[in-house]
Amino acid sequence: MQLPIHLEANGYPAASLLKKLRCRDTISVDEERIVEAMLEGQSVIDVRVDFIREGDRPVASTLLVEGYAARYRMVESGARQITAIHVPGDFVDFHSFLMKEMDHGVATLTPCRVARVPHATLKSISETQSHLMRMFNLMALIDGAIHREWLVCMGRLPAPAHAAHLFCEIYMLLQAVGLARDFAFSFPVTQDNLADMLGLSPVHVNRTLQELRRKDLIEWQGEVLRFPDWDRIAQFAEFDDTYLHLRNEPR
Amino acid sequence: MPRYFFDSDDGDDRIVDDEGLELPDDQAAYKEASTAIVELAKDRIPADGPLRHLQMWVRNEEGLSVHILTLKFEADERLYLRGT
Repeated sequence: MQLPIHLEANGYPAASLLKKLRCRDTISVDEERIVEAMLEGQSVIDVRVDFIREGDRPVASTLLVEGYAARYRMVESGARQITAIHVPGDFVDFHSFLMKEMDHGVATLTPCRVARVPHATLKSISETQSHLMRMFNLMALIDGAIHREWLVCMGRLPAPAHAAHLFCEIYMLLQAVGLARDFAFSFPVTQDNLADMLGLSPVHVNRTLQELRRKDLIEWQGEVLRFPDWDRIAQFAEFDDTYLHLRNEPR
Repeated sequence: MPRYFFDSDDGDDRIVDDEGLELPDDQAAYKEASTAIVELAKDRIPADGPLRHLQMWVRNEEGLSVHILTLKFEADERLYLRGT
């Protein structure tokens, strides 16, 4: 099983999460040790595996270490809507710590490496590490901000701008954890996956991508997606990264 | 599964599909095309003109047409022009 090449660069399991936190605030050496020690039971999961299911009651939250994963819901017609994309350093179900029952599933979009953090560990961190817990809460709040942005894009942007917005977002998220630079990133997902992310048919997604290529807004070769001109695609997509809260400040 | 190709014209540009999509049969291809042409219409039906014709051609691997779909949007031209 081949993990996406550009997504395994951060090495040790806590690296991406620590980078993600350090974009937003200073993390002390003690906090770093706690983050490293909380991760247990790493495993590799193949592509297209529903590794957390709607209705599950996890006893640990899952941190994505390598690869892409997605939260999703299925409707009765069998159609799937992806409601969030996760990149390394993201908890795919931090909320299961408090919400207990999963109200959606989580599936791998590529082979993934994950680590588990037992809820008991999170509980003890919440009792002794108030700053670290605030940072974890911030990550969950940012997940909510991303959901709001998706809603706006889905409801109000034409398909080409919507797709472009998604690509800009994923690039910024990967760049923040050191897994993308020079306006290119590894994005080895299928057209069906993209259709499920955008809430469109695969045929219209295909047309939309061709349109973005024609306008020279993206280049997509193999698994690497590249922006020839960041300012132009950001403007086209009405992308403004405020909602990702990438500023380092005391929190 | 056979591969189908979906060329489309939004009234301005014709885009030829060179990637295609694997689907079980012609009927599944029809379903995909009819969903897609409506999605295309959502972004392309003009607020600034009375007419727009959208088309989608579904080809099979042999290059033969399997389906041709047309979506015609027409506002009453006389009334439309009176309002401009």
